[in-house]
Amino acid sequence: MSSAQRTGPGAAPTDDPSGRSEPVPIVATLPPGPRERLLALVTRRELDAGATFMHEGDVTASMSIIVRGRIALRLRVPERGAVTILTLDPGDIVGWSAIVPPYRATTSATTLEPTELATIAAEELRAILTSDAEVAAAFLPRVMETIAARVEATRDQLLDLFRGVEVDPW
Amino acid sequence: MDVAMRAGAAAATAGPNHATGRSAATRRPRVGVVKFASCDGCQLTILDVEDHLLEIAERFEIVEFAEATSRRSSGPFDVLLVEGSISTPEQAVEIARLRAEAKLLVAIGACATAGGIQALRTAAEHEAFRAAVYPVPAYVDSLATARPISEFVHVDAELRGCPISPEQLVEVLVSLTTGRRPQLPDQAVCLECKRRGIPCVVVARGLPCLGPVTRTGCGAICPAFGRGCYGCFGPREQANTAGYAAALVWQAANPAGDDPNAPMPPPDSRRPVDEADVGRLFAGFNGATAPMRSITDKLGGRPVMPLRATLASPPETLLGGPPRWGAMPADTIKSEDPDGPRG
Amino acid sequence: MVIGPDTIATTPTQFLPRHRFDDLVEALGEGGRRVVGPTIADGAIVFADLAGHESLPAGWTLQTSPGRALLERLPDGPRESRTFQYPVSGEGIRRFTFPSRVDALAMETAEDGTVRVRVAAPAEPMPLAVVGARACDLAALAVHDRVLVGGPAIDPDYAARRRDLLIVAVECALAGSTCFCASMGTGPEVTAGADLVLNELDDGFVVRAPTAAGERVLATLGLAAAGPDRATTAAAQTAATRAAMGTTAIPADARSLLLANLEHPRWDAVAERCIACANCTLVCPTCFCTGLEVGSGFDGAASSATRTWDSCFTEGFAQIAGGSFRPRHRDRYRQWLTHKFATWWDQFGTSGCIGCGRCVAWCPVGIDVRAELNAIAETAPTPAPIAVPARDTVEAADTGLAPLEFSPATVVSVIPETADTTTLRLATDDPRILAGLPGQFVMVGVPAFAIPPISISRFHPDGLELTIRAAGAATSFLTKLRKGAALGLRGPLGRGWPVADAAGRDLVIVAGGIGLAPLRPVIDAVLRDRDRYHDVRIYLGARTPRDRLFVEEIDALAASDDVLVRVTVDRAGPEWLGRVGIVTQLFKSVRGTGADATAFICGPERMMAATADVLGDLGVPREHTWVTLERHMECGVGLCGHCQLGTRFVCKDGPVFSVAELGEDLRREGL
Repeated sequence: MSSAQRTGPGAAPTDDPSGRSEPVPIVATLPPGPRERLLALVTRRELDAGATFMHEGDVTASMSIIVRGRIALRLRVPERGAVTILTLDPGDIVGWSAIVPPYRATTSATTLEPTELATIAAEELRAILTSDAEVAAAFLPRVMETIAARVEATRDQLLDLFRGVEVDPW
Repeated sequence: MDVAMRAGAAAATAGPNHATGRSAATRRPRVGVVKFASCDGCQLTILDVEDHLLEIAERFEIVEFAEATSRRSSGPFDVLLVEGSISTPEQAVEIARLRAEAKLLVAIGACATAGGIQALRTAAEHEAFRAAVYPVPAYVDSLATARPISEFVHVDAELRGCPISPEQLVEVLVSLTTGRRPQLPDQAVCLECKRRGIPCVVVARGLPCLGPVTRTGCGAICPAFGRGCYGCFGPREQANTAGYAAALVWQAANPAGDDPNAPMPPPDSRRPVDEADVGRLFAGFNGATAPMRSITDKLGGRPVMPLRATLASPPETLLGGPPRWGAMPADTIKSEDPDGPRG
Repeated sequence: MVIGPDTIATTPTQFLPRHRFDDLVEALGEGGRRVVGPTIADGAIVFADLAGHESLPAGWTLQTSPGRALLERLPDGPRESRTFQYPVSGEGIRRFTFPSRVDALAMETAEDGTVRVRVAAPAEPMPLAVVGARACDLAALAVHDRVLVGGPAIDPDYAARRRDLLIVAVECALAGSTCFCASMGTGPEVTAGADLVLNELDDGFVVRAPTAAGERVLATLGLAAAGPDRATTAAAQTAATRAAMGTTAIPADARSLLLANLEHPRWDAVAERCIACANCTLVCPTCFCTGLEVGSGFDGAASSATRTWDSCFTEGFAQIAGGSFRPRHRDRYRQWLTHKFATWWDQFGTSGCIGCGRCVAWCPVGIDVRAELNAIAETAPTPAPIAVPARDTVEAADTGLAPLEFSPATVVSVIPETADTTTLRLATDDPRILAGLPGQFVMVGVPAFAIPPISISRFHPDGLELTIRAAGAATSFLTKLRKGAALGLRGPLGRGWPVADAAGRDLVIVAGGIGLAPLRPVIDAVLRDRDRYHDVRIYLGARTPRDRLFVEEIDALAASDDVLVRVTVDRAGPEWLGRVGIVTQLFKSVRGTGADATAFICGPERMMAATADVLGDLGVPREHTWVTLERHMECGVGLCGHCQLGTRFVCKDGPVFSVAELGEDLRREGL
């Protein structure tokens, strides 16, 4: 993104080069108790561009929240190879399958640029959500919102609105 | 205002309509006309396009059209016009073969597009009349009902009608040579009546007319002669036959007074007097289509075939097998000699 | 509400004895004028050549009720030999001024490639006298005057036929059960639009001549004055007709009632009965919708387009390549009734219905518009009056256009954009087209094909660019044209993007798929004058990376510092490192307020509506959010009626509209 970008009302968020000090999206907005207890489980990971950290069909190792960068979710379609069905930006969740049985990844996830993730190990996350009702009550609705918004957006993708029309034989 | 436009120096434009004359390299499209279970009327209509026939013969190579030429071909075809419904197992096989041979398959006529009037038969009735008509019914092998072409193979285009309209046929052929979409409007016959200035026979005379639920294309011939539309071009898009039938049933129950002095010829179509009459109206050339059949199913009026008594038993001479073509059954029956000649 | 070219002065009445009616017909036929009047044919009363009194329907009346219009002998009595003792016939006089089929265009390609596009010269109509027009017919004629010659585009055929028309009106001596002109303020008294007015009595006709032309005809007959008795009888007769109808056949302020009840369950109820046969629209004397039938020979070098009566009840009426905007009968019936009684006011400043009741009598299933309106009124709260907005009257001269003409253009180069989209660069020297504005469109004519509207995707000093997606036979053909091909352009048409509205503001451009094409001229204009605008952001969506338009240009733009560009696709292969997802994802998390932004949005309607919503949530004012709509267009100038959306003609009131002015109509299903 060019540093000479005009900024004014409606400007997009700019990069903060010192990503370490950036709060973890979603978690940072929880009430203090649950926030601290979840943050204790968070590990920050930095990934180069082109790293695939989740594989479709494998057991999901962790749930991540994107702090910085961009992730491509891909599905394997035998006749077509890998198809990117969605890209995710900072603030999005990757790996909600960590807390939904059968706890296997429904897509692969690959970084498209240098990315920082806030990661919680799947088993630890499931454990705290089962044992700590306050964390569950605070965190799960936020996860639901993110996933619901994604479902809604995917529906419009499914409509294939930009599709051309079939033309008659003549 | 006349606006003359000059093209660039190289007036090279793609598209067949800018070709000047026929170039040796461009071959004429190969056209075939075939028939299944039908009366032949649609093929006759093709010959009816008198004004254009010569030009059609120049622009298209007619390779198969048994009614018009002795030239035969079993394919391949650029355009195949198919008349008639599929009524026997052999026909079902043949249409599949023809589909593979044809680039463009156009079903023409009510039989090909909707099954035709013969599609009104049911399997049970068919059994009964085979038995009544044929001494050895087993020799007659038919499908349970006559079906439209589109139930067997993909159809690229349809020309409705019983018979088709020669103008619409020319329109399809013109669209093939020019590349434009043929204008086959899916509108009610009513629009054509009104454009021509024909007073509505339903409103002005209380005559039964399927025009409002039938697709136009015929030029509103029947109303022009003071009778109701038969529905031979088939139901138009989203034909609300249920709503229309309800109105006709009301009309039947509340007949308008007939002024004996009214200056119009006596109607030759009987006004419906009851529900079954209204139902009968919908059991026509396209009676097997869903919008029409739903009315006849509900109100009754399906035609019932009166059957003569069946033959008690077939003549002995036919028991040995189907007669060969050219057999003279009368002579054979008269022959005293059971081993006498059969051919 | 009735307007007419003449004012009716109280002229003295004369008396035409019945046996002298033929003299009137002869006088009307002076100079070879054709005389038509009501006759009986095919079991109905139709207007045809009038030889004299013998041609008239003497002794007949018409019994009309919903779904019926039956001829009946007049009962024995004093009126038994009358000739106009029937209410309106099925057909009025519309066929004479607005025939069902008229040559509209002729296009031909010569051997050397020159293309001529000719607007058909209006027919040389024989001077015509019409005998037997009723007050409602004249009111309808006045409505057609507003629609067809009221500007900015004028129907040349109608204008020509209207010119030398002599009208002999008859004031109705009876009302049919389907008549309600008195409720619409259009009759039964003839107050304007006629050259002669007749009142039939048993032994003849009381006649007056409101115009000079009528006076000239009367002068040749040398008639005696009618006298006070006859004049009084005539007036009383007409008054009795009025009294028989009453004046409350339909609810007061039907317009507000309908506009407030566009989702009323009555629409579904009437849709069960309605068979969408189009009869109502075809007997209605104010309906004006037409279509173009294109016919050509086998080589397609020459073609003609015929202007043909069409109807909003047909499937094709509101259909574009992607589907029909009014798929259900319910949608179409609602369109017809609300157009007639409500949105006509917005469009033409008058009611579309003149109360003749033909649609009631001639509906094969007997749907009665009066009953439908009353049914809605009975079950809906009394609506607050919705004022008719003031209309800018646009004179034909204002636009400087002769809107129907086609202008020559030649293909200079062909740029393939995607698998199904091609840009044609055209050369033209038509100053009107070169002065076109971003967001305007042209109708593109080539022989043998239908004439599609195409948005202009770039302007040049010597021509323009059209970016065309192959969505049908005509557009497919256009995408295959080669350099040097000739075609005709009608335009520039429509209301374009209000680029000036964004001056001094932030500008947000959101385009989906081919929607980028009509927005590219905006981007061109902005870049030419960058300092007039603050933050400029461009958000683009496409189906796949290979379906993006103007890829090099957009990439260059994205790399520049002038504007922010964000692109997303619906899906992609692994080589795509950009975003995948719907276009609203690109900006829904933008921080800051949109209160100082203007937004231009183009794409499929669902996408435009969703984008408008998200931008609205971000604070972009609805009056500063603009969309462009696509509808079925045949003429492009507001004469054929196809492109209507509620009160608007998308071709001339749009295609660019603000989200504020569209309101609910942007999302209303089947409007």
